Amino acid sequence: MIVKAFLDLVVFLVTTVFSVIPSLPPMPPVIVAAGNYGLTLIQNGIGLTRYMYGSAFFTAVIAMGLLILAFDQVWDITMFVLRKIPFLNIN
Amino acid sequence: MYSCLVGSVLLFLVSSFIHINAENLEWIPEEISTFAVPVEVEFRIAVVDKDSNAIVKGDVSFKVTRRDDATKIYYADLKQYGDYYYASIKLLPGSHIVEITRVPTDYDLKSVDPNLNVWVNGSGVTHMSVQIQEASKGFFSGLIGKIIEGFTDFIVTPLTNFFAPLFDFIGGLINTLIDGVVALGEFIVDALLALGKLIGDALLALGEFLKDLFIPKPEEFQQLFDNFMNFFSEKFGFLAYPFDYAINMYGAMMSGGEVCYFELGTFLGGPANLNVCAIEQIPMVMDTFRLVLGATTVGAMVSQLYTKFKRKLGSTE
Repeated sequence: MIVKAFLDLVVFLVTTVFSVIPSLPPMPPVIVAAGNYGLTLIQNGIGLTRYMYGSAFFTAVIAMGLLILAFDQVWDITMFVLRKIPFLNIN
Repeated sequence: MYSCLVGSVLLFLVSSFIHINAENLEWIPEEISTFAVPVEVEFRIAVVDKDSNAIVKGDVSFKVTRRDDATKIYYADLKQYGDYYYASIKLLPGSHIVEITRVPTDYDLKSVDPNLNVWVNGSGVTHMSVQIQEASKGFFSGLIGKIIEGFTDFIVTPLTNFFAPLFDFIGGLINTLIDGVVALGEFIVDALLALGKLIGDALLALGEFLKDLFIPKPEEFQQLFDNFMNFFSEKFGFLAYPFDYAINMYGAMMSGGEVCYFELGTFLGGPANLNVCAIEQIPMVMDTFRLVLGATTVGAMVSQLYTKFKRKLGSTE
């Protein structure tokens, strides 16, 4: 309740501040339609890939792919934590 | 059961030695003998000749068995006294059966004591039924009986009549008190249980309140986020579109289902669809394809991880 009240307050302040400025025009419908088409294709492609892999294996592949993509960051964070443990003696 | 069987066999054997003359069978009048309690009952049985029905003398002996509710057996030998035989045993108030289990051959039995019920039955079993009641025989016995009767009538009965309602009242009162105590105990137990449940519910409510106090519910957080994003989408217009697009794509990736058929759009004046659902009709191909695809993907990922590990560990290979 406290956190929600704090977030509500932040949202209220931000929206109040931004309410005074004029709204920008929306994205042109043509671009939105093209984007939605592409999004539909991507969604269907992901669905097809999920169909090919199987849902469970697809989830594992996605997790593994994210790990490979963020390998350097995950490595650095892990080594940073391990170096803080004295008896491991990692430099 | 076993004792009854043995007794029956014994009586059968004894009966084979008793010569019963049906004309000699007789009921002694049903006169109940009354004796002092406990009393030494002397019963006399004469031995009569089966032909002349005359009392005879002879060197004979009898075995007398007294049964008290078939639990105890006492033996007493008949002693010859003049023309008859007698025995004396102590009998307590109640019904008794005295069995004569050993009799001389060629002789019948009859009672010579009119105060005792002696029955020589047709089956050859010789019984003597004795009914012992309260004492009234003799002066002292009668006096004692009268004293007991007077004591009962003038002291015991009035006291009983006086105290019985009182005891009934006290008993009822005690029962009422016990019922009240039991009801009070049940009420206390129920109250304690209700109090415990109330306290438990209050603690649970307090815990729920504290949790709600610091941790927003997921739906509330989601609603807040949606409202915030809607506001910025409207406010920033085309600038917010890429963010909305990324969010929609994330939702499509995470919540989409398996698709084996979808429309690609219109090409060359006609619809273009992609349909691979027919592959399910050939499981051998489908399973092989999935195996090869999965193995290739895993192999590529393991190779990629291996390369990254080598690079991180400083290997030159």
